[in-house]
Amino acid sequence: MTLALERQPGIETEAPTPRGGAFRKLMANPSAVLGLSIAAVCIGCALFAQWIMPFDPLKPNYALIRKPASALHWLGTDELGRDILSRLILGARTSLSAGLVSAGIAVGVGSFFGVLAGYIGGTVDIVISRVADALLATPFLIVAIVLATFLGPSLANAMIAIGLAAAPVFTRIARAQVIDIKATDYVESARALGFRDWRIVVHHILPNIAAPLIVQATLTMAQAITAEASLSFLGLGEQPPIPSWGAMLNSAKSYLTQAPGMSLWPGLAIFLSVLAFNLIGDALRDALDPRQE
Amino acid sequence: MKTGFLIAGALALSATAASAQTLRIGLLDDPDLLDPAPGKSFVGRIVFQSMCDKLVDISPDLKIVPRLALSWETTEDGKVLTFKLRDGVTFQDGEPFNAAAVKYNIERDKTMPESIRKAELASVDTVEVIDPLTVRFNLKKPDSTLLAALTDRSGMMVAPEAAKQAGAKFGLNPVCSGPYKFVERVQQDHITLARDPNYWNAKAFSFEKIVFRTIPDSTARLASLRSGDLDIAERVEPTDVKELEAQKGFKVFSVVSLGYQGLTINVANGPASKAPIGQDKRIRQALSLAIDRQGLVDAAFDGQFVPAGQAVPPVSPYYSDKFPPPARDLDKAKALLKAAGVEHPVLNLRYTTSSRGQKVNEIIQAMAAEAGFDVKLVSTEFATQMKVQTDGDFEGSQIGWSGRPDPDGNIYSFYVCGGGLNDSHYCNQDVDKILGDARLTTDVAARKALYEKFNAIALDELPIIYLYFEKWIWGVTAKLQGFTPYPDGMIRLEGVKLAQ
Amino acid sequence: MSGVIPYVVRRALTALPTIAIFACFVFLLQKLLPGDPVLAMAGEDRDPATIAALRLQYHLDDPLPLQFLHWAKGALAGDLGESLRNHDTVIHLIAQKLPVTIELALLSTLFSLLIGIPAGILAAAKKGSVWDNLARGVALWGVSIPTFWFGIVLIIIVSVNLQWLPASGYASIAEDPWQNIRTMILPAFVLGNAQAGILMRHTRSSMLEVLRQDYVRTARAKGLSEMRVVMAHAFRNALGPLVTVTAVLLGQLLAGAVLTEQVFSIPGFGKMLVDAVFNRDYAVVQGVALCTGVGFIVLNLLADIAQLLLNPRLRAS
Repeated sequence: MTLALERQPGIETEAPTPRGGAFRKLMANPSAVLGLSIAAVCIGCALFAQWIMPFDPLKPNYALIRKPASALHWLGTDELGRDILSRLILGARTSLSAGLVSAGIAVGVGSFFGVLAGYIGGTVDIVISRVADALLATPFLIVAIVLATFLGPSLANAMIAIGLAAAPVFTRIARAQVIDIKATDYVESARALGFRDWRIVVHHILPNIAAPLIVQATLTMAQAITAEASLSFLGLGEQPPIPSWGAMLNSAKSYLTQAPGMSLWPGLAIFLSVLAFNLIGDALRDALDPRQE
Repeated sequence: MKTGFLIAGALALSATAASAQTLRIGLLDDPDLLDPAPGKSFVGRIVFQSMCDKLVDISPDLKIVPRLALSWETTEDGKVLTFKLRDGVTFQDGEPFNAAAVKYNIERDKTMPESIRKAELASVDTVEVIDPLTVRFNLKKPDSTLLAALTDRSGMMVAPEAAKQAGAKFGLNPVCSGPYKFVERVQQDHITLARDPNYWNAKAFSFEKIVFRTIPDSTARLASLRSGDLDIAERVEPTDVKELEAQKGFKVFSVVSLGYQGLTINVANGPASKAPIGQDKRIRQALSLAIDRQGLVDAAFDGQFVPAGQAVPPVSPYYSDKFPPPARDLDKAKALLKAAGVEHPVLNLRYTTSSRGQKVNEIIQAMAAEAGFDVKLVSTEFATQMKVQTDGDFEGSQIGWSGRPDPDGNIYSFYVCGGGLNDSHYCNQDVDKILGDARLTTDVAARKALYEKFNAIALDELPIIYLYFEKWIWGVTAKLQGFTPYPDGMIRLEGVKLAQ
Repeated sequence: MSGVIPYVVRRALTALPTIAIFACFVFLLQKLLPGDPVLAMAGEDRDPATIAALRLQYHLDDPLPLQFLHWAKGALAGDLGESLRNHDTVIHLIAQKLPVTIELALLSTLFSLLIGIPAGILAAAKKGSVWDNLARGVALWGVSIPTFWFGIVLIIIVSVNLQWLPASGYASIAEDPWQNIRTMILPAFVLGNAQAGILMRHTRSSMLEVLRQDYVRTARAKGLSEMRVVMAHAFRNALGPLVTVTAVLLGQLLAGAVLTEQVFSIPGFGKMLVDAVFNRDYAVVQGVALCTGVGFIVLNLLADIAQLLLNPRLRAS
């Protein structure tokens, strides 16, 4: 499980360089380029699935059960005779939307509370921090499983569950950032000048805490893709017959010796997409960190 | 001299010790409490089979055979059942087995708060000790299903003193009278039993120890068998059978089980029953005809399981050839839907989350679609599924029943008005009368005729659509000899040995 | 050392409300789960008298706050209740599984340290080079590969085909140490692999941070070999955050090894917790959650103390 907890002194407290330089640094990094390329392929599959899929991913074909790779079915067929490649392509939609939406929820909800805690301080801060700590003390997957069980088995609920489970980390990052920036002369003078709080937050604070949040968000996307696969593996995610890489892996697990290809491809797909976002996240961190040459 | 004897003795002991073997069995689940009164898991019964003897047992063709009871007779009116008990039997802690022990056990099953055997023993009024080896059951009314119930947990005898002392905690350290006694248990890992040398038939059991290991993942369980860490793996996945049979060093045993898998349709349990399928039997009949049962079994289980068209499996003497599993008939299905006025009925189908469930239900969804059904699948985990069904919060539910040796066990509670397992709330007075009558007589022919009358109605109204019978499949090492598959899925170790 | 004790006391005190909130939160969450444990418990036959008796026995009809207080009272007295499923006391269940879980967590962390730290040091020392990318790649792969898939594939290759190691099961270290190691290697490796990437990342950035410092430049200027600079000076000072991260990872492993335990049939907390959630076995969920929550907090505290000891400059605050 990707650990999203940052507790290093120093790295989070300085404001990053302007974006332009960061972007150039990013593109110069070969692993970032690799990550972005893989991500682009996944996104492409997700967006254009209807046009790329060679076969119907949903309709069973009992004559073709568990056939190995062939000229017609490049990756073989699954336990109900459906083309694996087509299901893999459509599955990208499930995994990527899970990644994107969950990360979005996590950033949104988590940062909201983090900014609140950091900016207002006092009791609000204490309460929010305690709750965040309590959530962080629980293993991420357990929280996701419990939430998903509570909400019911569906992709939407899985995304909410994962998003909420991943939120506390953003609370902590945002809070730490806000506390540091709040103390700067810049913000002090804005307050002295009588600017309304929410304006200060939106115009001055948010842009400056964006960088570490973005880095964490890409890492959370990776984590969310794995989490969605894990939840599907346990039966809590997208419902059949719509394919999800995790569910495909779960079905394939019963045929490991007879049809190993069935589990090879969804596992590989999960691995590559998670890898892509981890690479991007790492590269972003390097690019946005002002002190690295 | 003495030393010579000692050495000889030690050598003899070590010779027997060398042949003392441990049998390792892989279970799909972890048994719940090892107490026959509250016990509810199938795997628990597998452990009990070797640990706790019962009054009577079943033969592979479902006849009742003696075990702790040597013979029995019922009076004319069917209200008194008298057992003659086996002599010379002791419990694993030394207590004698006798009529008083039987009385204690039945009363325990009926009165212990955690016991779930009460419904099975509902017809028993009192138990009398006539003499140490004769015990009499006085019944409230005739009950032809009682003997069958006594072949399972209701008939298992626990040591009275040990049970009295331990109370509800008996299951943590059970003491019975079976061939193997409890040694230790690590929850969700393993249970160890050791041979009781005082057992009345000890020489028929060749293993010194049995270790039951819980390996829920079927792939891992099979892998353990193949790598030699297990001697028997229960419930091998049907899709693994062909490959295992092809391997040297392993054998596969299978037998059609007593239970079935089917679709329960909500016909009168709350608002969800108002869906068209709950209201009109023609739609249910159409669904049944839309499903190619053999195709389903071939696609999902490599053809290992058996299509079903009624509640009891072919091995039962009460199976009726007049009601074979219906063949697929798409035209008739569509015609029925048209006559019912709903050409594209929507069905929200719940099923218990599992990879097998997912496969089966995806196939049902696709097959039904060809007749015009729009089936939406809702995967539900087990704890929720139970509640959902009793609450009537379902239109259709794909669920099975583990099966009982007596047909009444597969039918009664599901069909009688207000029946404890009748989640669909089906209610038909004629059916109630037929099923009630079937309980009153022990005459096989008469009962069979009654169940045929039942089938004629039930398989027309279809609150339950029967899909297939599962098979118990065991993967064993080729060194295992004497293993006999039983339709109740139990592992009976009499005469079973491991070749060296 | 004088500043440490009051620090510990202060931290312990602030941990208490966190634990309390945590326990409350876990309780509420699982009580809100749909479904009915008694129905699931009552057996296929669902005898109504049994169901009613069970509800009464486990106070399942009481209002929620009352149920929580009942549990909390018991917990403070050392009684964590009983498993609804098999009537074993929660304490006994935890006692059986805790050593397994701890062993798996420690072994996995060992693997992750052995893979992640050298990779991180290498990556930092040779930043930007092929070694950097290779090290990052190797450690990253661990973090990206789904553990359940990796585990199953390893079982097939190592246990079934090569027959080097058993496919599943567990032998306690007290009973059979050799078998114990044999059954724990694969799952520990799978988990360690997953965590190694995280450790690598943190080691790398921590090292980079330190390598920039003046005293390191001084050491280099003094003519010390790069290897000595890296290992003797930089690494020791980069240790601080690493300790924290390791503690966090260890804590997360206490209950987080769910899927790996499932695949390898290891009787640890993760599997017990998820099964209890699915069976609505409330007392078990509460007990395990409490245990792991406390464990996690204690580990964090130890890590912070270790940081203080390693890095005297932090004590000033």
